[in-house]
Formats: sequence, C-alpha cells, structure tokens
Amino acid sequence: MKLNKKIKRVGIVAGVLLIALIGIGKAFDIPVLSTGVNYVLYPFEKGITLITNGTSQIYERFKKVDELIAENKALKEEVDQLRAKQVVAERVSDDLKRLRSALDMKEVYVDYAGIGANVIGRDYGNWNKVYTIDVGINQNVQNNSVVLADGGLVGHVEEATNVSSKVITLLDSRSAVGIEVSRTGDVGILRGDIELANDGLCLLEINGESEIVKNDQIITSNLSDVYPPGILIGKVEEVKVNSNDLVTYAYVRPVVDFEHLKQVLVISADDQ
Amino acid sequence: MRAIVLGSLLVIMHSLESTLFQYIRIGGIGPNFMIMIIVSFALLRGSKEGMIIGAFSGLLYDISFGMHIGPTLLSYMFIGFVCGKFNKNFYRENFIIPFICTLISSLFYGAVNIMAFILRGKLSFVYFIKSIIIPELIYTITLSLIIYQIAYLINEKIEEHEKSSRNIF
Repeated sequence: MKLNKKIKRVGIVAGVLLIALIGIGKAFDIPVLSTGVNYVLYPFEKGITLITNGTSQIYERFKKVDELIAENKALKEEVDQLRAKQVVAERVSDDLKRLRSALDMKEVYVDYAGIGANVIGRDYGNWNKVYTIDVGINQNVQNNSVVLADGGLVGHVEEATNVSSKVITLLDSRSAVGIEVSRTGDVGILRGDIELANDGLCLLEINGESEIVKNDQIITSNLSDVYPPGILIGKVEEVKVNSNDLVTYAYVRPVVDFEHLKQVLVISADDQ
Repeated sequence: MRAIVLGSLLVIMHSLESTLFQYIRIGGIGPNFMIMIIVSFALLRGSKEGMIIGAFSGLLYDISFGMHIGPTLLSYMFIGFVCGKFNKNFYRENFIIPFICTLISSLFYGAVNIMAFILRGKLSFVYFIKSIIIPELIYTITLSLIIYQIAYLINEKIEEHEKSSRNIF
C-alpha cells in the first residue's frame, strides 16, 4: 500500500514536470524534450555509424582493388577529355558574363554554401522515411533548411535540435514539393507515396494538359517557401494514363539513392 | 537498478535499430524489436511496468522520427498494459503466450498506422496488409522467440539482485 502511494506521487510529479517542460518549450519555441533525448542518443548513433562505416570500408578495400585500378584508368582518360572541355566552357562562361552585364541581367544560378553532414539514423518503422543527421542548431541549421545529396534534393529539416536534426525525405508520404518540368515549364506537385517508397519512386501530380513524357527532367519550382528554385530532383520514369483530362500522374525517380545515403549537404535558410 | 538496466536497454536498442539493424531489412521491411521487448517485459512483470516501458520506448520513437508526441507512445503503452494483464495467468517458461501476444500487438500497431493513413485519404488496404503488415508480422513473431528468452534471462538476473535490496521498481 505504502509502495503504491510512493509510485503515484512520483508519477504525478514526473507528469506535471514533463507537461511544464513541454509548455515552456512551446512558449519559447525550443524543442526541450527532443534536445534532451538527442543529447543521449547522439553518441550511440554516431558511434555505431562510425564503426559500421569504418569496418565496411576496410572489407571493401580488399575486395575492390582490381575494380579500382580499372576505374582509375578510365577516370584518368575522362579527366583529360574534361580538361579540354573545361577550356571551352570557361571561354563560353566568360562570354556569357560579359553579355549578361551588357544586357543588365541578374545571375540566375547561385552557388549555395552548405554544411556537410552524415546520416546517423533511419526510421525503423515500415511506414515512414525519416532520417536523423548529425548537424543541428550549433552548426547553424534551422527548421526548414534544405538537404541535398549527389546534386539532387533529399528533403527538408523538420525539426532541428542542438546536436542533430530530423529530415523528412521526398519518399515520405507526408512530404510535398512544388516542382517544375524543366523542358515545358509546367508546374506540379511531387508527393511521397507509401506504395512507391520501397522502390525509391515518388508520385507527380500535374495539369492534364501538360505534355509530360518519359525522361523529362524535374526541378524545384519558384513557388515554394521552403525549397529554393532550380534544384534537380530527378527524371520521369513512367507516365500513368488517366481517364480524365484534369490531372496527369507520373512516377518520378529521384537522382538521390535513398537506400545507400550516407553523406548529405545542408543549406541553411540564411544562405537562400 | 531495474530502471537503469531497462532504460539503457531501450536506448541501446533504439540506437541499434535506427543504425545497424537497417541492414537486416528484407525487401525494405524490418522487424519491430520494441514491441517484442514491451510484450516480453509486460508478461514477465505486469501491467504497471509494461506501461512504463511502452511509454518510454514510444516516446523515444515519437521524438526521433514522429511528427507529434503521442501516437506511438499511447499505442505502445496500451500494448504494455493489455499484455501485462496476463502476467498472473501463465508460466514464465511457456513460450506460446509471448508468441501470441506479440502477434496480436503487432497487428494492433499495424491497425493504428493504417488509421493514420486513412485520415490522410490513403485507402489501399490490400497493399498495406499484403506488403507491410503481414511481412512485418512474420519477421517480428519469429524473432520474438529469441528476444523473449533474452528478456527472461535479464529479468532473472535483475530479480536475483533485487532480493538483497528492495526498491520501488
């Protein structure tokens, strides 16, 4: 009996304290609970990721020596070709700059300075695709910062805490991105879809009159609050035939390989 | 003592699941170790501890990967509570009841997740059941036989230690 009373008292005090903490956090817009828990989880997840990455590299080093030698040779040839092309490209870009300044045009493409980060955790349920990365408010990452990898879009930061942040990927069924078909200029909405997520595809909803075809390139549109315009997303894999002419659905394959995602680049809101 | 051991067990399990156990996914579907742990300890120790363990592991999941704090916490807590009710009615060495409890809990958690998708207007039940719930169920109940043995051993050790010093947990 005495024991039960003590448990009750401890429970009530803990509950009240928890609610007060969450309330204070909400008032000042600080994720109190998440920050606390992430300080505990961070060393574990970071450590395990480091060890797995390190050991798999050692194993692969011995396995892939022949492959690497052949690849090195091919890459060297490619570098020579690219050097020749670069000279031409530099001349063209100089011309472009000169002509642009003559026409008083603004720079269209901006180089975003970003922070490199590692993926240290993945959602272990089978319903959502959420990742944890090892940078946070301490590294100037905020909510709604944009995450890139391999030159393509990964998603955005849903909640940033001091040491780590939660990233919602394109494949997650709760994410939606405003996109543009770079060939025709049509705008549409790209959603994650749970039935396609395990195949690494997303669902694109676009106006029925747009003439979208396979292998069209998809980039972010300039209609979004979160995503800056002109970031590459992927290519159209398949256009679904629809009975009505209002909406066309298409499957889009992102350039990012979500299965083997290890390093990402985070662009914070200030740089945009 | 019990609180420290179980707390660190859950934290380590959570970290392992989100990092290393990504490699044991089959066809993109992984098992749910948290349900196995909750069911095992709820059956071994009763409703009260089942609820506390369920709430703690649900909180960890909701904070790390959820949008809101609550859905997983409440469903894991419910699983812990209901499974704890069987504590007095079975022999600990019996492994049929943990097996059946894990099966029903896993189905219940799947149903809660389907509910979230229905509210967002996604109604492809056949896909959900055939491609996510059934494979996850089979994977989870198979591994639950091993996890229950480990939970049983851990519980034995803690109870032995507790005989000398009495605590609230």
